[in-house]
Amino acid sequence: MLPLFRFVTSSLRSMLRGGRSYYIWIAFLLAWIALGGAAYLHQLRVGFVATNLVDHVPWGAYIANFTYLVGMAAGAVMLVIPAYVYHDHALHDVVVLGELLAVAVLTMCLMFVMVDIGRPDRIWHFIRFNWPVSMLTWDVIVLNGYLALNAYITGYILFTKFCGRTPERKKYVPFVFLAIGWAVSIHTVTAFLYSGMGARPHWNAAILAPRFLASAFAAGPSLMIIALTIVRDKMGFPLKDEALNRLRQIVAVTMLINLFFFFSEIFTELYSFKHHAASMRYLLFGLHGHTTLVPYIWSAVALDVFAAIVFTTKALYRRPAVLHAGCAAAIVGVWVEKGMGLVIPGFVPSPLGEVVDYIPSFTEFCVSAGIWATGALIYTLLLKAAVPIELGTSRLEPEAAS
Amino acid sequence: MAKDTEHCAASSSGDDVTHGLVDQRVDDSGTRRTFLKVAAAAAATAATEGCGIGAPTGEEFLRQHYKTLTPDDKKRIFALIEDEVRGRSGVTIHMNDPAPIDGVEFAYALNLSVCNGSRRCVEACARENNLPDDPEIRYIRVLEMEKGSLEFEEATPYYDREKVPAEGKFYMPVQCHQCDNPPCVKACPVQATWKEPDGIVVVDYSWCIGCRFCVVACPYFARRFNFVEASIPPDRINPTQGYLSNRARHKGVVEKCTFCLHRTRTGRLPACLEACPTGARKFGNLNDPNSDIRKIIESKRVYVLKEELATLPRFYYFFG
Amino acid sequence: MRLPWLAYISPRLGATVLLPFASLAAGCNQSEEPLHHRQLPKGGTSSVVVTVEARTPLLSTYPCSRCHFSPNREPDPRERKFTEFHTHKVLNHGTQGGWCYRCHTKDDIDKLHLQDGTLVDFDHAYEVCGSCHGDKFRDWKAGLHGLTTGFWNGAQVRRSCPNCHDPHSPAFAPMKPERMPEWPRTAPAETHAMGPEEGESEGHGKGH
Repeated sequence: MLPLFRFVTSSLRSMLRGGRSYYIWIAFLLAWIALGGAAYLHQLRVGFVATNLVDHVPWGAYIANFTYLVGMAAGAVMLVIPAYVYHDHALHDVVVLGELLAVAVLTMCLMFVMVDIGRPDRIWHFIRFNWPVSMLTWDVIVLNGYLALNAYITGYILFTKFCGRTPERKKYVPFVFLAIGWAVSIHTVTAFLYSGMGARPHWNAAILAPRFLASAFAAGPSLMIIALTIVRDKMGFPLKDEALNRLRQIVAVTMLINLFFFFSEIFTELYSFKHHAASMRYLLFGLHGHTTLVPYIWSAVALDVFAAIVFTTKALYRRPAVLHAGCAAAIVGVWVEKGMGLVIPGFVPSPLGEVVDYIPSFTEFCVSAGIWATGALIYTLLLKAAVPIELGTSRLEPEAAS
Repeated sequence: MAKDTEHCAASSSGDDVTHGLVDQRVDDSGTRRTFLKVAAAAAATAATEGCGIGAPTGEEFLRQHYKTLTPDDKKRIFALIEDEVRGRSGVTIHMNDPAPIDGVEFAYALNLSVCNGSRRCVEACARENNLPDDPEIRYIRVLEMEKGSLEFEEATPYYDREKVPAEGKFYMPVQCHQCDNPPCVKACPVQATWKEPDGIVVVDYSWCIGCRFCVVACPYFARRFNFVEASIPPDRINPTQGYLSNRARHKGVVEKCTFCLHRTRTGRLPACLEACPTGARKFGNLNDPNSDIRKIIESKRVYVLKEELATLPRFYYFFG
Repeated sequence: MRLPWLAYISPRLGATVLLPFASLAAGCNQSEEPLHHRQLPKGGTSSVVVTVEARTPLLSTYPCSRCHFSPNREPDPRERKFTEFHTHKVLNHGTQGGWCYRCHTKDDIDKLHLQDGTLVDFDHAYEVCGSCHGDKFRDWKAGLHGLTTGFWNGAQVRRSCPNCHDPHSPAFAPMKPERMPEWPRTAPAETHAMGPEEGESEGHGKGH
């Protein structure tokens, strides 16, 4: 147990070590977390009246963020596939950082589910799983499983490196391959949550799961490019340009596929122009004078197109600033398009034809921001602990090992 | 109608008629972890009103799923609920849990030719089922439809007129259809909602976690979420309360129409039906060939809403 | 293996579908027969006893013979405007005309009569209505038309025709509806003022 104890204490020490800007960043995140916590307590006290959700629009910002973040977590697998399936050594070095991202993001996912539940005190009622018919049950199972898998893989690799040993392949590679399949499954199941709803024609489409995966594999690696650049510049991680270039290639393809899927869906809905297209009309053009989502979705499309252009044009992606702008565009564009841009139109019009607009309330905004800050804090701390181990500067003292 | 069944008499509400249908539901499993029972009892005695964030009492927190409650548990829980309501509002209520009647499957039919959109059903339902007014929860939504259209996008529930029916309109009340293939039940991750043998889809308000996936799944907009802790003026509380129907709901859980099962399982007709001034609503036992509902299904051109979703509603519409 | 979710899929599907994804696979079997057709069982135990709500307690001027007796009030079969009594009565019952004594009985004013002359009392007024409106009468007798309250399989009270329809002007009277549903909590305040007519002109009175 002693090495494990040392592993933990050493990691905690790494987390506390940092310059002035590091502490400002941590304080900034903690402030948001405190605000989010206060907002959540308010929501607990008064009930969901603190949100802008109504019976017509029973899910909003929380579930939109949840959906997006499940994709983010699945997107981390895009590092793993080339590294382990195709033995791409450039990506091998950064796989652990990608899986740590998955851990942080999954924590956010579970937090978004928790804050969306009207009775969090009854979470233990999951002992009566409605399996296998409820997609939400599936989702809870696969998300927790994926979290456990990633925590195990990263924990094992980092711990053995901390002890100065080489990770044994047979102790983690099978789990890596399991995680690859699992990553696809978490986002598929999340898509099925929506596409299984016969009552909601906007979601009831087979393209949803492929579209979810395509957008996830665009947004996830985009975030990784930014995160890895920061790790390289701020923490001195020896990152090969080849690794970033590989990620850039992935986004170039997935973003184009994502745009194609989205276009296919728009065409199918609008060309036939049946009543079921009302949600799509609401999203793109507004319905009965309700145009809440129109500016958002067109901004998202613009951002997605911009990202696709950047990632495929050499003159643009060569410049780091433009590449990072493209990454940000992909991250935000997919966030809008797959978050609010997918969840809300499913509720408009309501099953009885009512058009009710939804914009998150201040409470929902604060709670969501708090959860994002929590995720950022977790990822920051995990990187802070993991990078020195990867670099070999944090090692188990020889006397402790013996 | 045969001559011998008709007899002139003053109107009677039927309340005084004795009937043998009230029956305490007997549990089928009987197995239950004793330690939880002990813990629940201990917690219940120490129960307080929570700490300001609407935290549940210890008993409520540990209360088991409806289907695992033994008759003794129910007796204890009902007494606690009765005490709680008495303490909060001074009203003495009678908690009960009528069982589904053997061989009975309920169904509903609504005559769109005579429904005049008066919304009497909506308000009678609210009173019967202890639905709050602020913010408003209503199980029935009456849609004002354009003649010539069954499209909901052309309809509105927000009509406010001096007189109904209005020229060129017809009215379609929508409530829970008690589907035989209920998408809401499939959606629930914790089995807090299920279909009873008599066809009614119920919610265990003490088990629901408030995820609202069932609200998302329902094609008929029949489920309602408690956005606040509801309060009903004491003089409007209906003291006859069913554990699975009209008892007090706390904030953060989902509720819905149960065809007034605390009434219908004791033989009475639903409150919405009795309140209808036009007699548009018909209810009865689908398994009885002589019931009103069977005669309607067999002799009228009935249809169900959103048939293409294969939800198999127990709520039929017809023009008669 | 306990399969609770099969209970609400029909037994037919439950028996044929053994995969865990029964609910997903169920879609394949739907072409066999329309799902909205239920198996309606035969037999049953109906013990309905219907009481027709009395008419006479609701009549303020009954019995009619208090005023209408010879020779004080000789029956006047002429169609005319009432100026002294029954002034609120409007006859708007079909286009075939007919005056008081089409239904009321000249020689026995406390009784009504069928088209064949059979006398019936006011509590059986539905027989009079039914002698013309055969299809509605049939539905009413079967419990398909009109308001019936009480017990779905026991003592029921059914409204007699004239207790809902004014026999002299039988179209069901329009009424003031109960209040309209609350606008969704998050709707902008200005839309609350939107009346139904405005609503229809733009967007069919959609909620915001």
